[in-house]
Amino acid sequence: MKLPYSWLKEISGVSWSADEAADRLTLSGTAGLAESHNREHFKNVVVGQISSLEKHPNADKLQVANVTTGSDEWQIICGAPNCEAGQKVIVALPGACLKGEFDIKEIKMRGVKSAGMICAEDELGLSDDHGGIIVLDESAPLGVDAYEYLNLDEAVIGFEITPNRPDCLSANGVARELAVLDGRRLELSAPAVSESSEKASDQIKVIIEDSHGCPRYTARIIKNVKVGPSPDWMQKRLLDCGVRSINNIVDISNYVMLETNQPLHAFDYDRFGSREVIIRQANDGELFTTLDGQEHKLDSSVLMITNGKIGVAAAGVMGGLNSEVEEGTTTILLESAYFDPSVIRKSRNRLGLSSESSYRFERGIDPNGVVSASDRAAQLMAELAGGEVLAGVVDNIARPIEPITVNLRRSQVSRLLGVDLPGNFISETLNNLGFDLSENKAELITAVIPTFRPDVSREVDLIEEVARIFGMGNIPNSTHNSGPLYSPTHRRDTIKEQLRQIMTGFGYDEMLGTGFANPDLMQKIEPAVKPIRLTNPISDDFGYMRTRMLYSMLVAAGHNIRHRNIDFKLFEIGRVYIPQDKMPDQPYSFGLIATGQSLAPYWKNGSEALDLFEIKGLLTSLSDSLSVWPFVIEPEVVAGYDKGLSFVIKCGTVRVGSIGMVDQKTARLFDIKQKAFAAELNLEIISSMEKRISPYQPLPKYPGSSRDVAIVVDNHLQAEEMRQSIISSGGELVRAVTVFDLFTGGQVPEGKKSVAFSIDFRSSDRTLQDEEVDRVFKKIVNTLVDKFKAGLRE
Amino acid sequence: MSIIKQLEQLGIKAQTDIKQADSGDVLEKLRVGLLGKKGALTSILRGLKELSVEEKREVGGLANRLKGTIEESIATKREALSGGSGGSTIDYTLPGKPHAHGHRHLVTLVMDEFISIFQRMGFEIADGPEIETDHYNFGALNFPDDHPARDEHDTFYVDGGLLLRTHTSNVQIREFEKRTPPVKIIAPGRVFRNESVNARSFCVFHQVEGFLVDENVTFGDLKGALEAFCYEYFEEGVNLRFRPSFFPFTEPSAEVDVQCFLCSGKGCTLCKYEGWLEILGCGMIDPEVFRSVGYDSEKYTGYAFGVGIERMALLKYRINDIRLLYENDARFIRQFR
Ligand SMILES: [Zn+2]
Repeated sequence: MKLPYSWLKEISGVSWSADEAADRLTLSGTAGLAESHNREHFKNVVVGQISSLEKHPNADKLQVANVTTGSDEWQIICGAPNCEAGQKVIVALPGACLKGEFDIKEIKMRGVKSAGMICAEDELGLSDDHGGIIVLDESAPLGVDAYEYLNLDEAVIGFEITPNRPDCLSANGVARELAVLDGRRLELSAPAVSESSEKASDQIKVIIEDSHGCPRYTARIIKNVKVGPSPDWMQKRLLDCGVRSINNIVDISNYVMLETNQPLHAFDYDRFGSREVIIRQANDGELFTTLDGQEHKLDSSVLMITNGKIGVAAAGVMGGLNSEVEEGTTTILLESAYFDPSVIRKSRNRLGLSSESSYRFERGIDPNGVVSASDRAAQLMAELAGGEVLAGVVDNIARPIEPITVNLRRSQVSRLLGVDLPGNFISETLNNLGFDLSENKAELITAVIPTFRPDVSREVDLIEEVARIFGMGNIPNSTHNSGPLYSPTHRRDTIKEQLRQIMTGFGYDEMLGTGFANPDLMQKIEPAVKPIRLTNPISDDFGYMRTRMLYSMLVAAGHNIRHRNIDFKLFEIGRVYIPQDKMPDQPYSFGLIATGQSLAPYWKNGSEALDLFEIKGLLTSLSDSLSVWPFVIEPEVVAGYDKGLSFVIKCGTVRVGSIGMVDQKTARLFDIKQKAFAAELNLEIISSMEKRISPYQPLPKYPGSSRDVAIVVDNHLQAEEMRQSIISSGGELVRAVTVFDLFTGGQVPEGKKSVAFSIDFRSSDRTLQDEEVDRVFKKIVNTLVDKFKAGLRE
Repeated sequence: MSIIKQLEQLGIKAQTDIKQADSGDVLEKLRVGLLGKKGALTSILRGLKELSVEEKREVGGLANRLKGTIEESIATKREALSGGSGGSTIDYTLPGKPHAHGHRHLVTLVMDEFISIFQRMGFEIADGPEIETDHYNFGALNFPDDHPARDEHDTFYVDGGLLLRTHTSNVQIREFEKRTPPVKIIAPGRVFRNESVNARSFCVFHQVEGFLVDENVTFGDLKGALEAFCYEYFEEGVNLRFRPSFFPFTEPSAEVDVQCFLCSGKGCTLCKYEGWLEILGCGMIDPEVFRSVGYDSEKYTGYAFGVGIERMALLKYRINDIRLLYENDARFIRQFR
């Protein structure tokens, strides 16, 4: 909402500059920013007239204008298409600095001298419009400063009004705030209407059938109006408020709404269709065409103004085409009413329309301000449209809304704010805000809350009023020292933090998915789970919630590959969303994806392509760092992974996640044509596991020794099986068994592989002799040969 | 000229020549010319036999010292010419072995910074569901049904009548229900708003909500806590202002602005010429919220505040498009650490 500061000044009587007023309002809760044009930017910018216009000799699109500013003549080159001889225009003369950044100097353009510029709106910073030069009224006086002529010193304050303060959606409301900040109570004088002897109540009746939706409805009749343009001052003021002028009757309703906050509606009495206004709920299926020409099918959630037969307005939202004020209208039926906020909210939701009126009604206007607003509009219609105001307001109060009283214990102010306010500050502030104090004692204050402040109904609301006028900045800072002595850290938070540290240490970049998923792609990755659907999504791609981290991993990988980043490793810690009966399961999860080269190429040994074992090794390190049982993998087909390279991750016997190579067909859906490896972990399960704290192991006292063995076995045999055999056949002296080499081909026969193990032996009570180690080693080797039909390699 | 004088002059000239030598070849020629079989020093020493024994001893000693000095100077110069005092011959300009080195996401970096500050101030971390009921996201937080305050939260709804939380304030209610005061908690997490996606707004973002409930908690305490936070995150003494505002679940409510750090409050494009940057919302917890969780508002008071992570991150790094945070372009992520 925008309001010219001159208007606010006029009502409130404050004398601050616009900037100062805006600052004070901002710091008391009515956020405003004053905007006006910088006078410096209009230095040497004056009104001129194009006395003659010729084609530029050396440029097709340019013209050479001779411009007079009254006392002087200027030759100025102009390229605007709407430039014509005789026009009054705005010229920037040499020495001007437009918008504070563009210096105007005498220059030559294609060999012709040009001393200035004929300006368009954007060049002056008035708007973004560059449709052509500004053409002024013929009466514009030559040589006058454009700043003065265009009234650019008028400061307009732009407001952001919070939904609890409907009263501040009007000039009177903001002016009241200004007066309070000035230490005064604003008293508004009642509008003076001169009425004819003819009684309005003879011409119109008001019947309220829905007293919930319409607690109060008033009607006035103004005869013999002449519909025409509004006077300049009103047009200019509306324009400053961002409202387009239409005709005097419509302008007056808008003007009074901006002034008082009361939305008004003017019907053409002769086209109204009856002499009674009936306010009721719409019937199911009732059709109604609003002012904007749209036809709506209604139901009972819409409150209607009717003439007893058909609807003439959707109450508080928009009038109907059938009773609109037109050029020939002579008699006005003026509505000023109070509609229930939530009813209007439902109505406008149903209609899919909102208007300045509905915006105000649904926030709550003053139910007891309807008559004075009607008077004000009638007064203006008499003054500006020559209307004759019939006597009286037809006022039907179906459900009276009276001011409430609220008690304030003074001690509660300091209890909540932490500051003792000076002497009479509390009572004076409340009084200035328009709250009458029916009780004002040492401890207890009873305030009568005017009905224009629907946001104030409790003690704490009054404390807020006092706080914001006192100034929150004036409340001294303090420290609250009680509260818990320490705050525990939760295991899941520790795990999340550890994972971030470890993963970045391993060269993974952290990503963040949106959590949203495209339903088709999501179901391709995880067909077993029907993802949670958004009922009002932004787009298809954001239409469902992800059920697997893999989805976000693939989206991110696809983006990178499309942008030619082909080597990357990413991880994310976030949630997946699994439907359940009531509340969905939303476990924190961990996902990673890696593709391309494992490390940047290195001149010593080139680069190394990623494979599954890189990720498997990483998992081992993760489980070690997280102090849980080692993560082991077991083959199982998990959706999204290549069937031959798909595994579940177990921690002890508990299944905690999955790992694999991304299924190539799935990957292609995300524009990924290279091999990619991924893993997922459920962090809720992992954080529920007991942390393994192993006691200290004494360092070995005696040296150990090691032996290597390479065996050729059938391809299908698993290294782990052989490793376990070594451990069991070797007995207690075997301390560690590691696979250190694996190869096929070459001298190794078809269908076989060579696996090499390194075995560490050590005793905790003696130095092992070679013979003893050899003996055990031999036993191990024999067992391998027997059990796995292994051939020995030297 | 006496032999001693000749030796002294030779020494001076030798040092000058060695100093000026600009290559190993020149240096070698110098060495031969001085110390070689036909070199200057050798030929001077040839005249030694004509001297007395005592003179021989004196001149001999001098000549040997001179020889030593010259040899040492030549060796030093040779090292210098061959590059570096270590005389290294490897191409040390070759790149070092690349080590794995990943980057944190900007959002979690900033979030962790916040969490760490608040943890040092004694706040405990709590979490709550992202898919939430209307009750925990709105109802219990004093957002009446059909109230315009709900318009400020463009909400995503999912099948089954649930919604995607629009703030982490749901954690307030869930924790209050579980605990009795004192309660001092922060709730970091992901929130959703059904806003049009453009450079300035996105449908997902992160928040840290904090709240303290105890006896005698005041607005002054809230100001003190937030000032401490801002001093730690921005800089000691940074200018703050508290502007009254409106949130259904706090009363009084305020928004906190920090003086624009780019223009020091003079006005610039970052602060849209206001001189201030809005950074968080806060207030004293509304008695209605206490009522909905069964706390006695005559006994307890409390404050709550909420900081948006993305906004702080964008401001700090002057990123002009919020969507970059969720594209996960490795070239973007790798800029932050
Ligand atoms: Zn700035």
